[in-house]
Amino acid sequence: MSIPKNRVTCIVVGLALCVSVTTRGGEPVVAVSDFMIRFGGVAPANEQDWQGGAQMEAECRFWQDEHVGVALSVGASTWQACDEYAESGDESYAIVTSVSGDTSLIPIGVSLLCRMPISPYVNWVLEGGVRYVFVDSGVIATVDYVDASGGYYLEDTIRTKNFVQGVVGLSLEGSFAEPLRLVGSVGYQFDLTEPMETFDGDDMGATSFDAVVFSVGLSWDF
Amino acid sequence: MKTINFSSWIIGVATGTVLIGSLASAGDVYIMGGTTTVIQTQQAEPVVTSVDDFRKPLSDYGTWMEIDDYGTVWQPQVVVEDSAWRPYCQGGRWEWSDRGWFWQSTYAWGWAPFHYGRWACTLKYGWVWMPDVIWAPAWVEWRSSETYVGWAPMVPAPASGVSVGFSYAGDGFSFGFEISDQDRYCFVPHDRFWEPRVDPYVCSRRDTPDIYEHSAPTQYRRHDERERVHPAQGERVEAPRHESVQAGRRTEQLQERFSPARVTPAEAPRTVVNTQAQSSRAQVIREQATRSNPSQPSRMQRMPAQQAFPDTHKPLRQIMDERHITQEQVNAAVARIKSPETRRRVSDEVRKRLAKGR
Repeated sequence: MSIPKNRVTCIVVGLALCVSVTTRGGEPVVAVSDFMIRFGGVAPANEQDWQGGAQMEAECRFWQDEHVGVALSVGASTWQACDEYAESGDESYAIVTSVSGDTSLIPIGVSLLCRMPISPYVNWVLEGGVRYVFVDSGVIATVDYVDASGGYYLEDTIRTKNFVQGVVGLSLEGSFAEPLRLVGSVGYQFDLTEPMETFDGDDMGATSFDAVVFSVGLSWDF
Repeated sequence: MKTINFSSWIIGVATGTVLIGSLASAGDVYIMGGTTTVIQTQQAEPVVTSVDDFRKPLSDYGTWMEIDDYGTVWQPQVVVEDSAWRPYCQGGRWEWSDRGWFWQSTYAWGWAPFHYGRWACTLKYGWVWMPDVIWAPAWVEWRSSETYVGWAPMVPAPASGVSVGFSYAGDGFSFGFEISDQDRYCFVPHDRFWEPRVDPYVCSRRDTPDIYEHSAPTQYRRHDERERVHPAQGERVEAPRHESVQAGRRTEQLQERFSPARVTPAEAPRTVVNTQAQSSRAQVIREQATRSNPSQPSRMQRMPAQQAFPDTHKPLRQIMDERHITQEQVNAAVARIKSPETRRRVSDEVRKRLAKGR
């Protein structure tokens, strides 16, 4: 499992930024935990393979002090594949191929959090983390082949291997009824390992689940 | 639209005479309205040797009848059911072939009436087909303007050499009815010519006369196999022989993976065996095009294409001739394998089999 250096650099810088911001004040430790759930949409960077998707994420956040926290995260998302259709051939054969369907992702991982209060009731929260993503592909490809001696029809799932993903995000949290807070987030998720696709046992190369994520949700202390 | 226009009639006679003379003198070469289509006779279709060869295959899909002026004709059932139906308009698409633009019909009977004989529109019966034994990718004429490309069924070949051939040549008339030249044409915008179904994009009959007036007969050019040239203006367009619609990374990889050149003798059976063994969702169905040769091995046993046919790019027609495969069989197999109904049916059948553990 190889991790591109530039992505490692990116996530390390992001996490270091969180740490540097949160350690400067030397505030007294405030141990509070909260639970956050948010829903949103994903805008894929890889528009060739994916049309879009929807995502849900739940996080248990453990604050070490006023600024620093860690989170355990589990989520679920569905990605709609771009419909594809192609024909080729010559005088001796013809191939018709099509692709359609969607894929479900279940990311599980941890995040480092950096909270920056801007008022007694409103906070910015910067987040950087890593996810292991389980993939359940429902993207179906078909191959129709015909030549002078016959032909065949093949239909199978384009399978995608599980992969590792990095996430960075910025949330705005506002308390409106203790202990509930409203959360709005924007983030970017990127592949740390390549999600390789296979069809009928053959390598089809890597797709990408890089995407901008928009979400809204609620959090409450426990 | 009934008119009796003697000047047009005279023009029609003259045109018809030229046509008949051209047919008589040119042999395989038809010259019509500046359009030259080279048709190879007989060798192109080894199965059809007389018009009687059409009688039985087409009986299930329409009615044979004897009518004045045209003799024996066949009318598909679709004409009875849909009065707006026109040949080379509904139920098909244009594909480039080594012999020119080929009308790929989706009708089960499409192998014959769109590639042999002529279509005529009669007042009493509507569109009827007059069989002939000479094969062509399509018996149509072309016109084009800056915006549109159009085609029309060719003028019926004269049965008696007297009047039939020029019934449609101009604004003429024939026996109390008239179908103007422009009424025969289907026009579509240039960018819709490639559509899998062209009929939704055919301009309305109301607009057709105006489009026709602003169009001109198009040179029906012959081109190298790999060159795809728009019939309208000879412009080279970015499209392979088979159109790619919304092709993407995945479909392109599948195309590459499953093209005959990539299939090796070791891979061919593995593709099937592994699929069925590893995935309950995998479905492989062999469409047996060569039903006349039941001894031919199945896909799982047979050799891949390039091994069976060392010259992968050997023209299909040549392969068909060598293996005694008829155009009807190939057309039927292609239509069947591409139809959504077949896909659904095949999928259901395979799922049932897998569910039964077979």
